[in-house]
Order: sequence, then structure tokens, then C-alpha cells
Amino acid sequence: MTYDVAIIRPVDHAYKYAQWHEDIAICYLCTALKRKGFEYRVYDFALEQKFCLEKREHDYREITSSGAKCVVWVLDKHPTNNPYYGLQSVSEMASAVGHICHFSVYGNTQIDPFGFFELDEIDSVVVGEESAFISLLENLDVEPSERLTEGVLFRGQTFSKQAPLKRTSLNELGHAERYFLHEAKAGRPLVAAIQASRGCYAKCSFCFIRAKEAMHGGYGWQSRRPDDVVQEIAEIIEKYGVFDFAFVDPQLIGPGKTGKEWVHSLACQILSLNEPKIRFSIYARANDIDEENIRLLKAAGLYAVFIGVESFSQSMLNRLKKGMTVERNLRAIRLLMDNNIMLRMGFISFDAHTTMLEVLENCSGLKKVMGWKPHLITQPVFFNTVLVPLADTPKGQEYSSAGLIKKNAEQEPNWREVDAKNMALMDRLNRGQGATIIREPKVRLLNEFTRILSSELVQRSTSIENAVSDHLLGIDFPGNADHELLESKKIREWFAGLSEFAISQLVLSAEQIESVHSAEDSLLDQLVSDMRDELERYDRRVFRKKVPTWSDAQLELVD
Amino acid sequence: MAEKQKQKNGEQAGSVAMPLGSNRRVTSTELDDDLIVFFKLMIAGHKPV
Repeated sequence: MTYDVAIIRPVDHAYKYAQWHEDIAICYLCTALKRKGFEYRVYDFALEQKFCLEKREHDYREITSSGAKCVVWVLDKHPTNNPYYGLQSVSEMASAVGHICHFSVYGNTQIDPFGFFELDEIDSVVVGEESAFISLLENLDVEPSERLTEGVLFRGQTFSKQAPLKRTSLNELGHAERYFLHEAKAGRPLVAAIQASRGCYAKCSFCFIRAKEAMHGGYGWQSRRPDDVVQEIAEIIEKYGVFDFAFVDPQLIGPGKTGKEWVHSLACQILSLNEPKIRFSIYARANDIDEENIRLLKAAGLYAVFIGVESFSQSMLNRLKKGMTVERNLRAIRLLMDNNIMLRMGFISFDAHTTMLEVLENCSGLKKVMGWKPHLITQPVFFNTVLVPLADTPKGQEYSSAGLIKKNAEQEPNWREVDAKNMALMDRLNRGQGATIIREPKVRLLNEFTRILSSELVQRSTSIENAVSDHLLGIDFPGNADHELLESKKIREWFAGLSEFAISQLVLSAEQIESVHSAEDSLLDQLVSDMRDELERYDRRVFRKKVPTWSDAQLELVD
Repeated sequence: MAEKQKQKNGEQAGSVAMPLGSNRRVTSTELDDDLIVFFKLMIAGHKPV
């Protein structure tokens, strides 16, 4: 088997996790490659569950024998994912089979692109879109001084300010070429990722779209024709029998009247397919959640909405340049809950300047929401976030110049263990979750408590998700042998109460920390110890046992 | 025929190898469809560090 390009979606965490859909960036790369007549093969380590080195090494050897002239690693865009782990695959492959051809990186939103060259094996970084990657392939055999590429950074190149990169019209891009969805036909539970738009009209100072904006001279909301999106949905239903869709657009609903009319048209055309089994999730800003949008989208199959709520403190929202009011955030949440739509809530609980007053404002907002339908907010990661801004965003530049980021090596002592060599590399990459320095000592203490609470919840959530996923796949592993985790009623109950549990712990700790004269580590230790006891009781009430965490050694770590 | 066999083995350029466990799938009796949708559309995606 020979081909021109190997595309790798690496595992981007230190632990085993379930993946439910293809990477849409890879799908569109495939579309562009196919159109230009390049042969390719996708290695999706996440979907294929290649969590052990032996399986990945097999693929590295296969790539070596394919004669591929380029291997490209496509990184996940989610800001909660750490590109450090994904990039380990680059060094791993070089070590297993050698630096056999051109190694490139695509889809990065997490690292200052120049940071990649800290890894000796990386030859280029594609900072543009699909056409930039094609131009890289077309210029691989060209002398460096004569290369005609736009949107590609090469190692050793002298970098100068370039003209803004052109954006591709999404209507000319073609439909996303599916590389794994055929597995749904064989019974694998999958969601089809759909991209109906790119970019965003808002100006949040921490968002990865700011970096895109700098590169393209603007990265506003750009959409496909609704009829074309719906045609793609119909094709997926017919070809793969998949009725569950994840709109992975950063912001599905565009600005003003145009955006509203567009989303209405999209919803109406989905409805016209007359497929009541269709269900989907979207990302949206709170100000675009209104009764009419939600009524139509719900009728079309809307199941869950991710909103970057970020805060219930107006001064924090203003500092983040969110362009949002607390009142609008609350109104959107209320509307979703009234319509029984699940809410995935992005939250930035702490930034460098968060005060205890702002913390209490957040607690007040969270308590208000918990008084409505808390079981609709079950994603346990929503409130752990301390803002660690991306380097090439306005917020990142502000923090960097003010000295508000400390390196991983200077983390709090109870930071999850990372060996010194890896820590140093994360630091050099200028990402990998360096820590923000929170100025107010009491807030710093509460942030650390929240981080540990969130970590405890997420480990459990991942355990349950892995057990469910592995059970559906028929894969045996130690955690999966425990069928006490695999009852729908119990799982539902555990997730349904999670937000209330977490927020009650957060509020309790905030009030205790606020009431003491000074923030002492001994108080943190006590709060954490009490919280762990409470959480274990919460687990036992539902499952009659503690849900496994890393310390129980029942979760597989990536080797 | 050879091409069909290749496709069966997931060897065609542009496809991926068969995922681990795809031939050993079991039907769940304990997990209902709605719960599976909950994981696919609600819990999936954001995996924290």
C-alpha cells in the first residue's frame, strides 16, 4: 500500500478516553487532498483507541513502508485539551522509525506556532487552512528559497510579516470527506461532526479566534448555504445510518438579522427532511439564544447547547471582553432549561485579577441556576477553569507582559505529577497549561480547591464514560468488568446531581475561605479532605461504591 | 476481487484500519439508547487535562 500523505489524529491526553466523532479538520483535509488527487490514509489514534505504544508503533511502521512524503499531525481545537500530549506522538514516531519524511502540524489553536520548532522533529507548521496544506505538499520537492506557499511556516525560515491569508469560501470547500463513519454501519456508536460555519463575530480577548484573526486579517463568522449543510446531513443519514450530529462550529449562529435568518433557514430545512430521529448539539453565544431560535432548533432536533457563559460577575465579563451581560447569560440558561435542552456551560471561574467579591457574585449566579433545572447541566468540567490565556491572544499578551504566567515547573506542589523532562518541554512550548498567577491569596486558595474538586469529578466522569464506551465496543478492560457502573438509571442519577454537588462544595469552600483572616494551606487541606469524603459518599449513594479514579489504578494511562 | 479484499482489510488509501474491538462488539442490555445519546452529545468532546 502506497500513498502520499499520512494524517495522524494523536491521543491528546495522558489517559484513556472515549472519542465519539471524527475530527472535522481531518475530514476537510481529506476533501482537499482527494480533489487534488493526492492519496492519503488517516490514522485516528483516538477513535481507534490506540492508547498503547505497541499499536501506534505498528502504524508508524506501516507509514514508513507506504512511501508517504509527508506525515501531518492534526491537533484538536478544544482549549481544554493539551497539545503537549498530542505532540508526543511526533517524537515517538521519530524514535520508533526515524524522521522518515516531512513532519508537519495542522489545526493548532493552542500554541504560539513558532513554539512547535522547539520539537526537533517538526519541519513545518501549517497556520492557514486546507489550501495552505495543499501548497505545502506541492512545494515539498522545491528548493526552500523557491517555495511558493502561503500559510506555512518552515523550520529555519526567516519569518517576516506576511500579507493576510485568504479564507476559503465554505461553499466551495465541498462536503467533509468521512474517514471513519462507515464504522457506524457496523454498530459503532458515533456522532457525525458537522461544520456549517467558521469564525465568530465576537471579540472575546482570550479566544483562539483572535490568533486566527491576526493571521487572516479578520476571522468573522462565515457560513455555508443551509441547503448544502442539510444535504450533507441527509447524505450521512442515508449512507451511514447516523442520526446524531455535533455542529462543531465555534459559533453556529451568526451576527444580527443575517445570522438569525440563516439559523432559521437551517432549522426549517432540517425539519423538512422529516427525520424525527435527528438530534444535534451546537455551540452558541448567550445573546443568540432567543425564544424563536430555540423553538425552531428544538423542533429540528436540538439536544444540547454549549455556551461560553464564562462568569456571573459583570466585572469579570467586562475584563474578558465577552460582550455579554450577566442578565443575558441567565436569560439564555433559563430559556434552554424551560425547553428541557441540555446545557454545556463553559466557565472561567478565575482569572489573574478575580476578587473574592467576584467569586461570591459567581456563586450567587450559580446558585440561582441550580434553583431551576440543575440536572440539565451535567458536564463536570464547567467550572474548573482558571484562565490560562493562549499566547497569541490579546489576553495572553497582556498576561505575558504583566508577568502573570508562571511556568509548569513553578506550579503548586500538589499539581498532578509530570516528570521534569516533560515539564521542561511543556514550558518551552509556551503552553501545556502553565499557571496563571492569581493575585488575591484567598482566591488562589479557592482556585486550587476548585481545581482538585474538578479533577476528582472529571476522573470519575471519564471512568464512567470509558466503561460505557468500552461496553458498547465489547472491549474488556479492568474498569469495564465492574458492571455496577453500567446501569442507565444509576449513571443518570449520578450525572443529574453532579452540578448541585459541585456548586454546593464550591459555595461552601468560598464562604469558609472568605470568613478566615488569612488564606492558609492547612485550610485548603481540610477543605479538600472533607470534599473527598463527601464525594465518596455521593458515589456510594448511587453506585454503592466509589467511582474509580487515577489513584485506584483502574483507569488506563497512555503509555 | 483483490480490491474488495483490500477494502475489507481497511487497506485502501483514504480509509482507516478497523478499530480495536470492532469485531467483538456486544449488545448492551443495561444501557438504553437515550443514555448513549447523552454521552455522545453531552459528555463527549471536552476532555480536560
